Amino acid sequence: MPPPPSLRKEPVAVSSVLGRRLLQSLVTLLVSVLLVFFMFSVIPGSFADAIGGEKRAVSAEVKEKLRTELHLDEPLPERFVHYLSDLSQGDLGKSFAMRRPVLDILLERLVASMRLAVAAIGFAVVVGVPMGFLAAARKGTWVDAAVMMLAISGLSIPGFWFGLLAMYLFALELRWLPTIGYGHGDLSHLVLPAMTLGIAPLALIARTTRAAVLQVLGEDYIRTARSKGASERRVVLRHMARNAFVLILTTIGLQFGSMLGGSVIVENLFSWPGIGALLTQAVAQRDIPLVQGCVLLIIVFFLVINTLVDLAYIAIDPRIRYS
Amino acid sequence: MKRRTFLKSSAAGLALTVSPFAGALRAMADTPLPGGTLHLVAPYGTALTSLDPHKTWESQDLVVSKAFHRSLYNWDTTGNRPVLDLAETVEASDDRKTFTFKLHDNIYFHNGRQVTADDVIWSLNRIADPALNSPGVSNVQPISGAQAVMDGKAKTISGLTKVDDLTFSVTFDNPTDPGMLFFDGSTSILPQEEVAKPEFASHPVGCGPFAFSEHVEGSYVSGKKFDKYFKPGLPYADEVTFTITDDYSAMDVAFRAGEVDATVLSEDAYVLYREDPELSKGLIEVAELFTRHMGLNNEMPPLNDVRVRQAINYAIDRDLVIEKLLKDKAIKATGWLPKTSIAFDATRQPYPYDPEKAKALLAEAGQAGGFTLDIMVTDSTSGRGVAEAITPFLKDVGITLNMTIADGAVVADAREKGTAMAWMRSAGTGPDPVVALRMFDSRMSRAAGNVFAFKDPAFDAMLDQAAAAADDAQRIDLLKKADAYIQDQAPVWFHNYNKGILAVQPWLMGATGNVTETAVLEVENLWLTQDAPGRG
Repeated sequence: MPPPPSLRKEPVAVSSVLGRRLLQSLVTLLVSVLLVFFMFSVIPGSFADAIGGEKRAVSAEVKEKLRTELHLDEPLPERFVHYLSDLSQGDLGKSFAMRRPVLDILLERLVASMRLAVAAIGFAVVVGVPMGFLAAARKGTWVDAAVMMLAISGLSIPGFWFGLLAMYLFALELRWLPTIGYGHGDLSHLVLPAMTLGIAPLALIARTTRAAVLQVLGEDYIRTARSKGASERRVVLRHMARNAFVLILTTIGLQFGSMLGGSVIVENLFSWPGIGALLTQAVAQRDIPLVQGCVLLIIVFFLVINTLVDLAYIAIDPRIRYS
Repeated sequence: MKRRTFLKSSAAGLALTVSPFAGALRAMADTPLPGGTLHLVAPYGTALTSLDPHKTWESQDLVVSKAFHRSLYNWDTTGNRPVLDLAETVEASDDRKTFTFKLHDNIYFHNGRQVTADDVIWSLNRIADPALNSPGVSNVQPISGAQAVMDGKAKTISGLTKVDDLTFSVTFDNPTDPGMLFFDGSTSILPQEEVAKPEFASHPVGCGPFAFSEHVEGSYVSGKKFDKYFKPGLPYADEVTFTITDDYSAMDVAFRAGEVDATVLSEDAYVLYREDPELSKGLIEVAELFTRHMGLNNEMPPLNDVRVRQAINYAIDRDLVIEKLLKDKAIKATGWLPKTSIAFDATRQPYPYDPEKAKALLAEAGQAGGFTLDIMVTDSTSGRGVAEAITPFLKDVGITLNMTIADGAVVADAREKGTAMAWMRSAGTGPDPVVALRMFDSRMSRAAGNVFAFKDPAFDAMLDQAAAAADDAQRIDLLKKADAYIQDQAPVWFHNYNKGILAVQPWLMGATGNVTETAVLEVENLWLTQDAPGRG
């Protein structure tokens, strides 16, 4: 499939964007790796201290052997060099607790997390964008007020609380949907977690859409188009929607990019087998390689989505220049 | 009194002790109905660490493991003691150091191969293998020659001897109760040829009532009835599914929606269920083998003075804390050993709430002006919540509580390094009372368990005498005295014994309270009534 016209016109700008983004991403990743490694290495308590929790006593001998086996007794700089060396070869290490390669564990969990993130952002976009358009179109009316009130509520309600309320309503009272779990990957188990994860982005997207539409509606080119006799449909689709969408896309991109990291609470609440739930457990267990793997994945996902959004800007609006 | 006689009588006594809490033994008179799917919960984490029971430290994994694996012994939840499981008989030598076990002749692994003495010997050797670093190692360490294997000086444990295909003997260095060691899931008997396969940790093969079926990481694990299970007619259910979660609110909603057949409850949910006329019918209350306490650094002044430690115990109204904060989901501690321990002394009285006595003791210890007690707690009801609740009581006698909130690993680290002055903790104090009391053994380092740095040769001698006693009644009597001594020396503030609460649906039968871990259910005994959702 040939690239869109806008990309054909600006091949240099695209490669420049990609190059710059890659460089920025590498720096961001390195700093993140450094931060996560040192933070989890210098805070008191290690995997050997956390194992068994309060429930099961683990002998001192086992703990000591673990410290040696996992190199926890080695100097910090030495451990970091080993870690970077392994990382440069694509080796994220082995989980302390699960004793399996971190990469394998992450890949197992990524599918569930992506399903949830895509469903949540889909829900947010499909509901949020029309809500924003509606509010802009009915500016100053009770419709506008109601939509914005809903949007503020969506932003204000804590995710776990909304999730619990949704569970009570849809699972306990109405019995339409299951409460927790992944099921066998069926859609019914996806609905409530996706709604819960998507509610805050939905609110933000609705607000952004309303603001973007109102801003674009006041632009000269809209008035010009109308004065030239363009149909309202053409004005909305050709001139207004396309320009407003640059702003909306930024919000959608940022929200989607941060969904892996933001899914921690939702995944825990709904027993959803994703990266967020994995990260919680890894932090509690001081499973440093797994924490690092989760954090890296979350950052990479965010960076990739942001790069894609930047590229999408060019596709939507060729006037945007990145040089 | 002979050992077996004593065990029977103590079990009867314990059954009475537990009975008020295991009051919801459910519909045992009904005839079990086979079939259906059990929907249970693994409630202590958002993931399983490993399905290889020799490799996991987590209670969460052992909740699930019970469905797939079996050990030589099992915990009898009604008799409240370990009983033979894979082993049909056991004969003990007079000195209680050598035990000869004979396995049932109809035990099969899920791959169809019969379980033999070789499997038991191989499994116990595997646990001792230093390369595995198994958490079950403390359970095999007392076997003669196990230490040499653990130190890498021998390949096999010399104290394990095969007699024939179904018979083997285990020799210990000291008089021992093997049931206390070999009921734990970490000593499950595994098939060597399956363990050798790389996928074993994610696709376990055991000899338990259910054969592994599926594991969706972080969500659920399921199993199907094993038709060749060695106990005729068991398990009753065709399938079992464990939902993996640690969110008590979500578990509550799932239970109310009828999606799970049983679940453990938090303090807050316990109050709501207790007050609900329907839900209250399905509550099983279990006095677990855990002792919640405020650990004190016995080396750090002024806590190195027994009068100061006793003063702390007199200063706090525990009844009020248990009633108001813990919503009665706890039993007031009268010593270190919990109410369901075989060495619990029901006649012993707890420290009464007596602030005047506390002030007098502090004055005697030269602390009339009071002091600041630095305490590390986790951000939980049993941590920060309890610390906040006892602050005014301690203030009343002149002790200022200075609280630091940290996560569990940080508190554990400070505790083991001896830098913490005090901390809140729930310690496993059973089922073996000797192991529980060893936490105060002077010869144990902090890392080895004596985090209190309690040092008293007189207590060590009492404990050694109890451990070496050949007669069970004498042993228990000595342990009671040792526990009383610890209560008097007050190396900790004795708070409560945790009361685990299991909520059971009206359609689930055969559930009993397990004092070693409430969430561990005897899945083979569970069955569903005709109207259960699990039959839909």
